[in-house]
Amino acid sequence: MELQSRYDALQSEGIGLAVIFYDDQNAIQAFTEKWGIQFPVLSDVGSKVIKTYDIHNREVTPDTAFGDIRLYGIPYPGTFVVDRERHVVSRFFEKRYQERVTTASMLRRSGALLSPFQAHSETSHISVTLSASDDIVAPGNRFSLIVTVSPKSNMHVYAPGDHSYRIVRLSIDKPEFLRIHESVYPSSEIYYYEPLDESVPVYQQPFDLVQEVTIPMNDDVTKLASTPGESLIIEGTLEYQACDDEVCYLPTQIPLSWNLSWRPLVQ
Amino acid sequence: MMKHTNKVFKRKSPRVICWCLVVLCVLIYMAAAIQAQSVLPDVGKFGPQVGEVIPDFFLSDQHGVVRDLGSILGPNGALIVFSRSVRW
Repeated sequence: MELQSRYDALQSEGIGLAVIFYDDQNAIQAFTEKWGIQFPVLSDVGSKVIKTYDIHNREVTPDTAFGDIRLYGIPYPGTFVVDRERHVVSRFFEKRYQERVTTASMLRRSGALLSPFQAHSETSHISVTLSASDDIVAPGNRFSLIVTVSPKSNMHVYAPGDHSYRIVRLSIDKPEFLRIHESVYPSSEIYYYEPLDESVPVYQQPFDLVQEVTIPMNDDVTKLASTPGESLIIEGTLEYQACDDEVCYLPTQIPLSWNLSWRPLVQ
Repeated sequence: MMKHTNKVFKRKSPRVICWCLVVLCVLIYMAAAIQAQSVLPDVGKFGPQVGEVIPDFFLSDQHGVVRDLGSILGPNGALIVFSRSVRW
């Protein structure tokens, strides 16, 4: 269970954890004993808290055709990340059944729990460090691949905008089964180049390109994930164009590779 | 002529039934596939939003001890996870 595997790390980071189900306390006790769950699992039998939080599933009522009475009161599954003062810092609700953002990916911005996986490469224009929110993943996980780009001195690379320079771009090529989500670019700064009287959005300071990906939950992937010795190798490309104060260099492509492990699946 | 009409009528009947079954099977398959692959509705607007304070709760944990939000929070906050059912 992904949460159980992260519980120690959460405790070291001073972050509490509770999982709420709408089952009765006996069923929850049996469940936690069976799976060796150590964090608090709470019984919201009758769904009172689910309704107070206003996240009860609107489509399931006692009258719906496929909704048998067991489903009534079920929440939309999701997680609230809250601070010490109980304010919501972020929230992650499932968009597809059985696909969940990993704990580390939820906490990526705070830097807690990031995996030790790192790889480095360099060109004459930039240094690149690859990392990921998780180095152990499973089908259904939505997690983050991170490329930290550090332009070398006097160098800058180009951010999205209305210009003709090659925009820095991370693309994931393999495996084809990965679902790639929309890229999010960090904020850039404006660079004014006097000889051409142009102002262009660039990155001059180190910045992160974060690519969220989801491993789908289907039979083929589950089979791959259970194959002994099989690891998940994700390959991609970083494309960029660098210029310094005088010269622009040709657009360049760097191959990228993340080597992650499959979480052993519970049988 | 009548014989011809009867023959045509008899030939059509099992074919119509056959097609109905095929269409029915396809519809059942599609309904199951849609439900299995189904994207959840956009639930972003439900529940406490970023910046809002979440409601307190008093719920029994697996040891039978009643826990409130304060007993869950750590010095750096907490993850409050709403899951489906332990049974499925």
